[in-house]
Amino acid sequence: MKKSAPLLLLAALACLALAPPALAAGPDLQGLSPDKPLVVDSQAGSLRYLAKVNGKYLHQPTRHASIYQGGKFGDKSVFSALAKPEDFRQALSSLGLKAGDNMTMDNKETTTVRGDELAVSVTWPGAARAYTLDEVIVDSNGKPIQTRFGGNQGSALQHNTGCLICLDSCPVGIASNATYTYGAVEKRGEVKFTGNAKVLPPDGTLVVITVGLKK
Amino acid sequence: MPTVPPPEQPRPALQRLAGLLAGLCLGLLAGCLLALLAGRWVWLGMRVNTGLLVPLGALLGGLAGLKKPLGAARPWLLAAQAALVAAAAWLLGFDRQALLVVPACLFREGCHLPGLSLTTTNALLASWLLAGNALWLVLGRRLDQPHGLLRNIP
Repeated sequence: MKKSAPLLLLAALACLALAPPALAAGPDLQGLSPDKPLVVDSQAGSLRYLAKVNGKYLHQPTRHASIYQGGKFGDKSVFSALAKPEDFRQALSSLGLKAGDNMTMDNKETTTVRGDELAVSVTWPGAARAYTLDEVIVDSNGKPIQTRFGGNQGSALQHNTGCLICLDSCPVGIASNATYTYGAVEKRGEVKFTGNAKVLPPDGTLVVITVGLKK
Repeated sequence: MPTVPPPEQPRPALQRLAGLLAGLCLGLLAGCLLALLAGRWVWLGMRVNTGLLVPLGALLGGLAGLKKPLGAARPWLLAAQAALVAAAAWLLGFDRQALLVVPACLFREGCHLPGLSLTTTNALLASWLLAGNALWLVLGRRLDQPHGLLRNIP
């Protein structure tokens, strides 16, 4: 028995390691599920989509708030979205929101994104309330995130990055942050963004992101 | 005429196994440290799967261990691993939470296993390092004994 104890311990650890993670939609996910990751609430003038917290970006910098998990950059954002960018864009348009469509590859470093300003909030089962994007993502300069509906349908499809919400003005992301021009994060190092580990739940938690017109 | 007992034969297979295990552990930690360093460059981190450095480091470490079999327990191998862990902790600001999250995320990304939970990944990494080090240390001690497996190796 003594000789087999380490083997038993290893076997137990292996079983623990291979156990599949739970990904069931709970009752607090506001009607969303992995099979139905995005809904439009016309009465409230907003849409809701399902995303998963990526724990890595609670401690490491990123330039993306939310990217579709099946996109090319699917694992590079604080919130890995289960909804596709084309559906996200379509849903914003169906709410009557106007896209800026002013960002190009040529002007990206000198122009900030236009389009209707969006109110973005995040909540999850067990959260005390819904938190604004400014509360769940930390800007190292302390500036507010100004999310605007950039549009970019053509380039989003062309590049297939999966970007829903970028943290500086972007010619690819459906929505992005008008506070900074493109390159502020990656090229010029003007700012660092990380998820707020003091507020957000642990890695893998499903969250509901609500997006509507900022009033 | 008294009969001389035949000398024990060296066990190259055991030496190779010890080398492989030590290399896998050292390589895993070295890959993790490199991935952490790479992730600090946001431009690179947003374009490249820096987590690939973790399994790649383990693979290269394992191959190096096979190529240079371990003749005996080598305390510097443990010291090197401790130094790598300390460097990773320093890069993560000695934040316990970050230490439990970031290396596991890098490994998960590097192995293309996005569905793996952090608890599972950490259990895998802990088993890898604990079992790997325990096994090569035990093998190394056996290889170290004066009348043991390696006494006829120059």
